[in-house]
Amino acid sequence: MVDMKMPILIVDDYRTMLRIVRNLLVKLGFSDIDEASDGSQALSMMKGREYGLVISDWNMQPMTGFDLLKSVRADTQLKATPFIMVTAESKVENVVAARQAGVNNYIIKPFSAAVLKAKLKTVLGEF
Amino acid sequence: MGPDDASARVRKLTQECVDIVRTILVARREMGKLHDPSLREIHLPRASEEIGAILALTESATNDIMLAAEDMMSVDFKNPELAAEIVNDQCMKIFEACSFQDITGQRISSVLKTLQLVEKKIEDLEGAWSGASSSIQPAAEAAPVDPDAALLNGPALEGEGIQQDDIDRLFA
Repeated sequence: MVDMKMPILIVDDYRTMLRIVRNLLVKLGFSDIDEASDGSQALSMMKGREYGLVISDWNMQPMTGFDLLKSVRADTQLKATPFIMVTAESKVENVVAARQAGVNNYIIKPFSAAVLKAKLKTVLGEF
Repeated sequence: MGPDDASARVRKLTQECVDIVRTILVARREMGKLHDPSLREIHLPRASEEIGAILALTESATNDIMLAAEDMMSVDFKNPELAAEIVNDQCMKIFEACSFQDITGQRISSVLKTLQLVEKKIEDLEGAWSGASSSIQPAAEAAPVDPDAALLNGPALEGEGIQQDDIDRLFA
């Protein structure tokens, strides 16, 4: 079973999106949620705390979600962290690149609570 | 006025005409360098489509939010448990609808880039006409230094990109 108290890191440069994802996660039963506004802040936070899941946007500055994903997968301490990309980038090449870089799942914005829940179940297991 | 004075004035006028023609030719040559078909053929039509998509998305989100609010207004509170469930579900729909802000923000950024491109062209044209043309560079798309930059396209327009179902099949 999924530990609903596990810490989750959400990464997006839009405050509104952070708020939306946080509220959806709370509605699904998760309670320990941290936020970062770009990849470099997220990476720094991941080095200081063990997260059970990262949900990241792609298009951010200065460090993109894609660069964050590659950095996480290249780090021996962090590489096993489940990683879901939530992005408006919906070209095939983006999805393929993210898959090759080791993303666990990929959600196209805008998305519904049902889609987020389904992907969380796919990545984390039933809850 | 003697014949020498008249001849000098004709020579001066002729020289001025030659200078004007030369300036026009130089300006035309420099303006030619600024010709960038991608502005008219790609960037401006794309910006127009982005604005259309922004209008459609904001209208859809507004409609979703109002529908959720209307559903909450019609809740029968005689059954508090059911009422709480309906209100909760409708609040989630409002949250989902609010994600339009992210998408429209990215689309507006794309339109802004096109406007900045137009502004740069106008500045370059002014420079070409005012004789500051030597500093003008021919129009060219800047090649992305980072290969991953080619993956930063922003939200797709209708008919572009792939759907969530297609992605799910890739991850199945």
